[in-house]
Amino acid sequence: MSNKFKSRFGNIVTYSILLFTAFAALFPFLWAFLSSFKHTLDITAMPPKIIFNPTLEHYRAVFDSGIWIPIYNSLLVVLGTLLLVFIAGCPAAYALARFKNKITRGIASFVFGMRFLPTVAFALPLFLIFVNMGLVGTRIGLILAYQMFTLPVVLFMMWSFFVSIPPEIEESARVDGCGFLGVFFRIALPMVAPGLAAALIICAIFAWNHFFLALILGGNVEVATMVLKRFTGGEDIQMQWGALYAYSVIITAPILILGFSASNYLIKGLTGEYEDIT
Amino acid sequence: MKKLRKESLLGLGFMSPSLIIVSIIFAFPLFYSFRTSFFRLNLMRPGRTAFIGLANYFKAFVDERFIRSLGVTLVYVVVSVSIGMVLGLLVSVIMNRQKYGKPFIKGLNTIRMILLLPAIIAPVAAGSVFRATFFHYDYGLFNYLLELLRIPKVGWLFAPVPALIAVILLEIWIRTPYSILVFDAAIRGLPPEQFEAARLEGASTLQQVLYLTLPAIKPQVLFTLVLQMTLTFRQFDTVFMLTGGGPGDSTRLMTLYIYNQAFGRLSFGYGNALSVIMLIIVGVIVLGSVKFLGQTEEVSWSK
Repeated sequence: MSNKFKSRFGNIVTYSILLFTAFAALFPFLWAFLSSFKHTLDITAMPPKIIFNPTLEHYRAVFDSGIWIPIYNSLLVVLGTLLLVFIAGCPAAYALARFKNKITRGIASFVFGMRFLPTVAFALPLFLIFVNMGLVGTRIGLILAYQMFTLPVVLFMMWSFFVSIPPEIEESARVDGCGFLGVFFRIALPMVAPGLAAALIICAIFAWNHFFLALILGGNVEVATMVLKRFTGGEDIQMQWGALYAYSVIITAPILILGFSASNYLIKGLTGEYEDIT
Repeated sequence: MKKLRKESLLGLGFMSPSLIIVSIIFAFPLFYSFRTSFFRLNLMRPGRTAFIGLANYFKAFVDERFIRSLGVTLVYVVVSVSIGMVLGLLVSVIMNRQKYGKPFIKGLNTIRMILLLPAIIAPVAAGSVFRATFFHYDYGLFNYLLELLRIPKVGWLFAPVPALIAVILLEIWIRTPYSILVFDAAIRGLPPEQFEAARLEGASTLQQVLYLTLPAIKPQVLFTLVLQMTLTFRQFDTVFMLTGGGPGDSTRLMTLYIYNQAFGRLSFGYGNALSVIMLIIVGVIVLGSVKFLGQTEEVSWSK
């Protein structure tokens, strides 16, 4: 009797904690999503209206305010970042996995430092250097700067994938006359393709969301990315909650689609369970 | 010898794109930051640029606003990371209660997917939504709840302590799900046999958690702790959106103060000196916690 009661009580506590956690994580999303379809007066109505007349006026307002250019900029910057991080990160990770010497280790430790040290502390000199190179306010500049947080992700994820490839496979390819480059492109890279996809998805999300470097390096209208447009627009956001919610939904939607279509990879990639991905 | 040389060259070749990028955006700025910190360099007064030795550093040590921002940052980091880590451990242990001989939790994969959400959305979007939804004085849900409970409303973003609580709450909301997912994955991977053996010996659930689970996932806990500390230390986006550092300087983290000094007042020499100080602090904290907590453990930094 008391045991049964105890386990039922344990069940209730357990499930309440988990439900509360999930609810707390989900609630702001639900709220923003619902509010983005409410009429302006309904948004701030207290008590909150669960049932309401939906409207698309806020979405119309956001799209009328010229959102296509920031979307275009964000897409270009994300794609450029992925391309560059792929070109730079994959060969480097492969070299790190195959040659353990001072050069590869040294470069890797620098990339490692990039991940852990605060971006703000590099932003000032980076800004001055970019001014001199004419890269401030350009998409190329943003793409280059975004390697600061994407390169470590790709380098270390890909490194652990390449290390896990059994050496016999590459050796037999080499016996068959495949050179080092050939082994890399034809054997190693295809074998870690799922892992590469996971790494690039994580990078795409980081790049799409990144704010600080965009704020200081890309701060003009022509190259402003999604994160900059509404959130630093100077308009009083409290006056336009509907548009704020609609904009938040629009900026979050691609990430959720990407995130859910690859949620397994993403959870494993983010939590470091790389072995299971490839 | 010849083979080694060839390997070095190949390695260097494969790493050269990374090397170029790292030099431009990391190594050179690091050097440049260090060098500029010894200069008076204000972009509004370019004619007055001059070498002034350690003067910028001396200025920082007597700059009350900087010292305060250091204090605010420490409170922010310590409170949000420690609460986040404790919550993360608690929830992840509960999620894996079958390890302790309890029934499975239903719907775990759904919970994992939901927990992924705060970790992957744009922090600026989260900041704006939180500011309107929860912290607004008249229409925010927190004040609405307080009113229902007949407690006086709180000016969440207009009073120093509530503003600090608000930015810390958002930080916990953003960071904790990631910790939960990491610990959950770590605990899930533990072999069940030792737990079964411990139960046969009569170990309670709490004992299993304390003496089996926690030691086993120590590397992941350590790694997450260091990562969360550094990420929280460099937080900028959410506070920038929520309070902008105010009211007064009550939520002005070091990152915001450096940003204000450099891009608001264009005093780059001083801003760079502050950046170097911040780098040293973060470096000491990272290395210190690795030394202190890691001891002999082999931690995989790739994760």
